[in-house]
Amino acid sequence: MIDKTDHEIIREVIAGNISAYAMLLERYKNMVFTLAYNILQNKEDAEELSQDVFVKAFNALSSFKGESLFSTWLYRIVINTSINKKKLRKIQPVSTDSELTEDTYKDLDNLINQHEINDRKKIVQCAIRLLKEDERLCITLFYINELSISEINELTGISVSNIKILLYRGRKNLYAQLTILLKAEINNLI
Amino acid sequence: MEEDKRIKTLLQQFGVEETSSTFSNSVMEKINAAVLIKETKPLLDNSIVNFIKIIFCLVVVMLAACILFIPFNNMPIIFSINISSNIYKQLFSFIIVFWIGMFINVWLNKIWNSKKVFFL
Repeated sequence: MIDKTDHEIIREVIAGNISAYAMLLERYKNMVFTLAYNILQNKEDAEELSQDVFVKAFNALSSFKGESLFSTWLYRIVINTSINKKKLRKIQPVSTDSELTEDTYKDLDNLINQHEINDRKKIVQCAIRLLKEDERLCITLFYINELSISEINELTGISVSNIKILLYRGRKNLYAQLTILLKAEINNLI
Repeated sequence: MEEDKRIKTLLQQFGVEETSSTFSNSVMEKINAAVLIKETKPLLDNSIVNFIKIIFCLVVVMLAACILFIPFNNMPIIFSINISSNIYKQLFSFIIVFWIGMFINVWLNKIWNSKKVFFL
């Protein structure tokens, strides 16, 4: 049952097996919720929006042609619905100044390994939250939702060059925030 | 890119938020309710509702035509009930207060909805 592809499940749902939709729901609920939460920055709103997205997707399932992945189609609904709730800020191109060094990653790995899994989750999620809105959106879509740059461009309307800059800047800021948060956490423990 | 792999692993391991425990049930309940609404047939068939609407409109037009074209004295029905002016006053006051209340309600609703969107 679990190994069924998205398209097989969709065919089943369209044929009248509504309960099969629960499989898609289980498969994508956390990704949809993470994306909604990273856009809206409010858990209650994100949960409500995610539920609406799944209901909307169910109602429009017959119009899903299968030209793109179901996940991409679903994320498009999340972004469009979120935009209705909150307008995305205009993206300003920025220069890429300082470079990330190999030592930064090593230091970070050491710091992360000193924490329990639950603490790590909290710290990473907090660091994501501290990113700027446009950086957070690109980082979430690219690394968590695993969309390509051209797909992000199609979904958000942000130009390819700006996406690349935002990803670079987002990565840099994420590492910076993580380092600050992890050091603060260690200091608190000491 | 090594850097990309590291950050992807990190975010996928620790950056994914989890929904509440009731999330799936709530969605499936909403979907089942939506399906039920789609499948539920209305109490009266649409053609019957349309027929009743047409009959209602015809009666209204006929009554209006009677009032306009038949002199009051030649009407087959004679209204001989005397209604005091107090009842008229109360009736008009009620209608005016009702509509004022109604407009305030609509106005407040609009303001509330626009503020809700604004704050989101």
